[in-house]
Amino acid sequence: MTSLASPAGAVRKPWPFAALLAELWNDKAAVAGLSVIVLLLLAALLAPWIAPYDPAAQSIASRLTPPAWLPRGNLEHLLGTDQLGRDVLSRVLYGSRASLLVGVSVVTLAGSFGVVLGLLAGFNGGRVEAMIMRLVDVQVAFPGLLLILLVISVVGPGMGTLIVVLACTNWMIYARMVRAIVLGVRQSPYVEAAEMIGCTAGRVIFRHVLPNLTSPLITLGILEFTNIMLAEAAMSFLGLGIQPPATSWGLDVANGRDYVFVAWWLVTFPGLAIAATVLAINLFANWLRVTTDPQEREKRFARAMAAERRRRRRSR
Amino acid sequence: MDMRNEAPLLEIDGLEVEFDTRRGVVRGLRGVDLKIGRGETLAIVGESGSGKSVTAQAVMGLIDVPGRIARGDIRWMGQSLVDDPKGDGRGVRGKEIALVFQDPMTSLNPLMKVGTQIAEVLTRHLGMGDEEARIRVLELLEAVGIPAPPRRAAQYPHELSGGMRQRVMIAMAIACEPKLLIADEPTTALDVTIQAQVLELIAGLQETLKLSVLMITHDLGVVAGLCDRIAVMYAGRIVETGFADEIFERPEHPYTQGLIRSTPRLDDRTERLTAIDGSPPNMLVPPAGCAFRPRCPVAGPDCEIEPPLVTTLPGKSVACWRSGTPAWPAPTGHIAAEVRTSPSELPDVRPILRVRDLGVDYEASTPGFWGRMRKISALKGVSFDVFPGETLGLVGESGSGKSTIGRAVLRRLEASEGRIFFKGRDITDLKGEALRQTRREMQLIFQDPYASLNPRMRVLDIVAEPLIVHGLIRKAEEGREEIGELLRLVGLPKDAHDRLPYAFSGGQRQRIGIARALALKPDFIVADEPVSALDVSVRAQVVNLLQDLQQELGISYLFIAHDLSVVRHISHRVAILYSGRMVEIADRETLYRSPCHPYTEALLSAVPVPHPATQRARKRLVYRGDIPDVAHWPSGCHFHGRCPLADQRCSIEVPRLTERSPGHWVACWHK
Repeated sequence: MTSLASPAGAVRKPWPFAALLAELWNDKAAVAGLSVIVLLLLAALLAPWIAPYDPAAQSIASRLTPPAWLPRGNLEHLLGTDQLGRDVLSRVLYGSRASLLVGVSVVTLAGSFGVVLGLLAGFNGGRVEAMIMRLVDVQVAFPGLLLILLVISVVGPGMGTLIVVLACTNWMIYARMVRAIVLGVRQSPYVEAAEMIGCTAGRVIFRHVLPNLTSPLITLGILEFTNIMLAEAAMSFLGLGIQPPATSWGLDVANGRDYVFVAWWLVTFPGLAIAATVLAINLFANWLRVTTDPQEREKRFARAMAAERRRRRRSR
Repeated sequence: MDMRNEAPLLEIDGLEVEFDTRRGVVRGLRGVDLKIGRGETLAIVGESGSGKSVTAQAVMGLIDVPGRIARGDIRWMGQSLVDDPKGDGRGVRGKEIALVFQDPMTSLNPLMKVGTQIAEVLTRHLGMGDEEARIRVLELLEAVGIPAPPRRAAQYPHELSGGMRQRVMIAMAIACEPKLLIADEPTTALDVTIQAQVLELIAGLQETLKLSVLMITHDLGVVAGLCDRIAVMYAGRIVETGFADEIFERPEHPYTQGLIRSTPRLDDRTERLTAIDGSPPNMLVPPAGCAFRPRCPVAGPDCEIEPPLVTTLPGKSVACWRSGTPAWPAPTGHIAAEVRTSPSELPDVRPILRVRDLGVDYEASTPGFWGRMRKISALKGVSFDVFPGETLGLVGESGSGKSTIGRAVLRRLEASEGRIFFKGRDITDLKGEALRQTRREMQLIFQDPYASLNPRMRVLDIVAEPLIVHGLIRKAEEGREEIGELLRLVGLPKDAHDRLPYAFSGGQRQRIGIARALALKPDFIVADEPVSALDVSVRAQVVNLLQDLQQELGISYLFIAHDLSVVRHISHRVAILYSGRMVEIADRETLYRSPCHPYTEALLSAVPVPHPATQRARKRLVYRGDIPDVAHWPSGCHFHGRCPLADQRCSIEVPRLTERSPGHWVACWHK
């Protein structure tokens, strides 16, 4: 994090955003990923203002209008309309809200639960650890889809149910990772030092162990987010997730399924949205993973320098 | 023939290696010139970051991202290895130049039998057939002194001990009959008695195979008995090179002088070690001019120009404008044994710590899912006292249980038998708050100054934490003054408060750790290898600091170390441990002058003395065999398998510590 000018080790210097951005700029794929993520966030936040129509508004007169650039298309519906005459562009914009909301809530919920259990397991060891980790094993071994089907058929579908159910089937990875890191950190001399000087368990966890978890957790959370998004799409596709009149990309793909051969745009645009989002997040997360690992980060820098030098030599 | 013999085997010419980091270009090597002749043994001596390992890596072609060779050349018998477009030099590395690494565990493939690994080298480099290679493997294992080669060849690396693995590495290195063997800290990861075996092996091989050896080490002692010539490196350059005896007898560069003076010697004792102030420079911004200038006591304005490496005597070169000037005050004289009496000899002193029949068991699960817990005894029947204001040195090799004792005394590990009394109070079963309060008076100094400080906390917060958790202050800022005083006491700069640990060098970090241990004003400190992770020139600073603190504050130390020279320097009394048992305990002079237990004798004779003439003249007892594994202790006296005096009784009955002369206890049936 140190830029060339800052004195070594000075605390509370301004966060070197400029240096970080310059580093990001070198990785064009990550820049593209971040741009897509930002656009998606904007779309979700501003959907009511930028969407041309109410996503649920039907208009039988203009059913199955193709996108604007096709012969029968018109500029009123840029991405065309569906079988009920709803505007596809508006639906894609509104659909991003469901995807993001479900993704963020599930990651937060599953993350907190997994982190707490992982900390408990890693820190206490012994019987507590054995019980928690066997619970993780059981949950991993149990088919998630089956559990979701079971719960939803009892409780009934809906966004709230979907969030809770997805959280219940996705917390294990956090618990496992946190436990592994905590086991490592617990062995480290500075945690032993903290215990030697009389720190209580709580203080050791919050001051000495938890800070080590932030960067791997951020990376894991972002990657998990894409999984959850896909899961939400799948659930909605199956009719177990978001319920009409609300919209979601997965739901739209499901709706367009019967019209694939007459109106390809119904499945294509929400499908593309899902794919682009997942790809963008993965590209960005890859950069973030390297950036939060000091060693990898140094190597990436040196490789960029070596490439630069080769380029210069060739052009000479 | 003569002509060829005179041409150097390896020639390094103005070599510069740079590392691209996000903070700028680190200049790892800043122009290294070196020649190695046939059959010659050259040692490169230097501290961490001096560039000694980078030099070896450059020769082997192992410089990888982020490093690169920026300038200079490496020639093998006249043939450049750096500028080599046709790849003529490819066959040289690995075949004619072989490398032995520091850590044999990470450089052997754990999934391959050692015999197969050596055979692979033979079939690939020499094109041997399988059967031919198999026979040669056994010959090689025999040559490096591995008993029962056919059995060992069929084992995996993890089944061998550290010393055996290093022998396998050496067997692999000499498999292609190289002309030059590069040994990069070959014995640093090994115990002293095993180190002696491996050094002897290298010296023997050099003679029989007419090898040239390039030895890379930080340990002057290792160099002394083995090498013809020495090159001392500092901050990416060679500062002095010459014949070994010359360098040790008449070091000219102030750094070399300081290095030799700051290394404690087993064979003599000075009141105080010469400490080189400061720490090695940051190679991101190397100081202008002579890199040693900021730490050099005789530096002057002319040192702002980098001195070239100039030949002063035949075979000797120095890079210093004031070469030969005595840079450090003469040692304060040798002190006799009587001068520093141990507090244990004073009448009416009650020990601050009494340990009686201490034993510690570990639980290990037997293999398999339903494996039951099995007790492994790491320590048994250990008794000793520590008196107020005294330093008890605890020496042993790996698996001896020395760290286990330290942790058990502090109640970080549960004692499975025996009692521990602290200030007359039995603390063996203390729990919870009572234990927390007792620990205020006993603290721990760690081995690794990098890992023992939380990298995300400011120095102020680190040193204030003990005060906060014991409710003496509420916020770190409240203790700013008190902590400033502590930092001054351990010799840290005033502005250290607000910086993070990474801004400090190893020695300074160790000082931070010591300040933290002192914050609660303990009477007793366990120092677990407090200087073994530090650079040689910095070690003396920390050793001196610990001694000063003892004088000033009357603290008692339990000083755990594997380095007998440092222990001799700092301790009043010394206890020797061997695989979980105490074999001898005595006051320092008695123990070092007239050791009684055969193991103590072997240990003392195995420690290399950093003085070539002395080292060559010493009679060394190199006992065969390995230290027993904790999980499979032998019966009777644990040393009987390696002991020349052992008889049947030793393999059955465990000898108890008995007093031979006042204060001198030995556990042996024969001595």
